[in-house]
Amino acid sequence: MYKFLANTIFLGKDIISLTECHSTNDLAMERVKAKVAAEGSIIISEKQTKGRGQRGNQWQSEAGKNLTFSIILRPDFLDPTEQFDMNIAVSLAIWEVLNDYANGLKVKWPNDLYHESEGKIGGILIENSIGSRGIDFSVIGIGLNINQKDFAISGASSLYNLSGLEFDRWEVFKLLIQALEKKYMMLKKGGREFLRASYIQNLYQFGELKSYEDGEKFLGRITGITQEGKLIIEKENGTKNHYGFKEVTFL
Amino acid sequence: MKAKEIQELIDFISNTGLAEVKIETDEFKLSIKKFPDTTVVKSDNNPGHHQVSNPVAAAPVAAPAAPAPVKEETNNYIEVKSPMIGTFYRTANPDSDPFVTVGDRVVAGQTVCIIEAMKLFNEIESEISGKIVKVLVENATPVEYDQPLFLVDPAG
Repeated sequence: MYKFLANTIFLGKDIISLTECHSTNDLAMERVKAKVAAEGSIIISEKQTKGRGQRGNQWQSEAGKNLTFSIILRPDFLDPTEQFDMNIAVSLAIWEVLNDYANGLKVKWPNDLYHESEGKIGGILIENSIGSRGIDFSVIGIGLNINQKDFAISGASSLYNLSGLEFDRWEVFKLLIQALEKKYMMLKKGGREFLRASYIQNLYQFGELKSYEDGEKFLGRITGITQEGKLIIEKENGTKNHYGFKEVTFL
Repeated sequence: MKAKEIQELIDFISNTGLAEVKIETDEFKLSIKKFPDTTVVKSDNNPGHHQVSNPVAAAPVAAPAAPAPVKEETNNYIEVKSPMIGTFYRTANPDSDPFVTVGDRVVAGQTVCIIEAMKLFNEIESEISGKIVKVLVENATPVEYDQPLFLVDPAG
């Protein structure tokens, strides 16, 4: 089934809507590889049989309750070394929309949608195809827990569990696509520093003295991110460390 | 004599019925034989090796007593380099097969590895077609910007 968004410029003019697929990111990347992908195309599925999270992890989502979709973009204005700015734009767009529905939501570095006490309600999986000219295509996979009530694992939640309300998923989807387009255009038109500042302000545990572990436990404060997106944590003794993904654990 | 001229000469000779041609001038000596398993051309005025992929093969003039295939030169190989800082992965997932292994032929645009940085995943495409000669980085280890990842033999 094909759907269409009227109130956007280029995003979602071609939406492939499926009742079931293996993984929307895999489908999107297959279209990229087959050279039939267009910027702004979206693949959305009610159910993923092999939904993926970060490397080797599954993305579990109850069929028909949530949003799982992938967007195809061509950020040819970004060097591969600048790709964290894409992550910032996407994370921030989703956070802004969800923040209208529930209190206490943050972006947990680098790109989880996270509630301060209830845990994770969404994730982002960005996969780029890099050719000789740099980033050829970017596939932005987004999984958000909307109306799901029960979770098999702890530390996961949904908009329903946070607000007690059921949502029209298509309406949420439309708002997300508009926000994503706006942030993407802002990124393209030189708004990087503004986006970075907003992202940092909305980071989970930003500026708070919290426990972390980088081989040993310590107390520290998140003070920002580096150009390449590493997390900067200032330890109690004043030293500032830069961490890549999996180099530091939130305790 | 330039590599391109030698190539053109070989192309010309391959279209004739000749099995062997020897040319000698003041500048160079060139001997070309239709042996399928020798692949190196050498002329006296040029110390560099020119690899050619052509049905007609030339035996090395400088070493006429040893017409066996000459060992391939590494300086003809092309490096696939990392476009960014990150972690190098040879597989799409921890339990899947490597994208490429030594000896595989790749075509330009084919994914050869993944570089992950800050949970963003980058499928790196080979810029050239050829044969993977060497994998230069261990799976799941850090790589620097511009670090060579693979050696590709464009004539392979």
